[in-house]
Amino acid sequence: NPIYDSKSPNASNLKISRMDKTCGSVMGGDEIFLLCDKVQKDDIDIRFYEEDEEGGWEAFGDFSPTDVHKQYAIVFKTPPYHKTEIERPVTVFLQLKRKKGGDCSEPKQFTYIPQVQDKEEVQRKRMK
Amino acid sequence: NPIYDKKATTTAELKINRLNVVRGPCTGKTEVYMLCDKVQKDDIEIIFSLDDWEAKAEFAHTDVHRQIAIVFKTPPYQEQDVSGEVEVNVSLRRISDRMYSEPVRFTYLPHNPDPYEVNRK
Repeated sequence: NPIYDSKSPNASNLKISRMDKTCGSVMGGDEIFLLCDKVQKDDIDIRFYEEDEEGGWEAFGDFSPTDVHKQYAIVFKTPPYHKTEIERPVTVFLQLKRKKGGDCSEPKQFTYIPQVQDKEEVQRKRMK
Repeated sequence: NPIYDKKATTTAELKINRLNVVRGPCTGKTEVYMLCDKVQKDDIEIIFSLDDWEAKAEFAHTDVHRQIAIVFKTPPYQEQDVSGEVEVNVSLRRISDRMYSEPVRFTYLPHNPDPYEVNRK
């Protein structure tokens, strides 16, 4: 039987404690502050995903190792949703995922909001 | 001469690294995430100040995350009827020795009782 060191960041459980936002633009690029249990700055991904019968979708939050603060917080930008033309909000999941080993945290929900389409305004600009 | 342990959270230098929000209404209650160097959850305050005015941000021990982040609510500014933006300082202050961090800026915005400008239309 393998013996795990539960204090080592590689073996401890991943957990998202808190996020400053749980919704954002379907275009992505929203900055989010995420507070979490101990992570290694070069061995962690933030995976956005959706599961469906056709295989689903995944994309990753954008951050560099310097955006990981003292192993317990990450500042990242949201990825765009796979289709930017949505009529109503779409809720997906995100989780922390180790690059090596691939273990994951429990997911949290994130809601993509449609772009505000001011059709009249667009029309007016086109007229110019 | 006293010897200070720079690594101990009781004497280490306080430092604010980053705020997620740096503007909010002068009525306060804006939720802000602060990333900071290690603090003790029961020995730390967040002070908003400008000249003679100071006010403490509101947070509970459970809002201090692993000693390196604090989720707090901004205090109201001293005046609720400011006509323009007001820039104030935000610092960490250790309660036990009254030591401050270097300040970062936060901007209070005028309170607009008619945000959709209904009255103007």
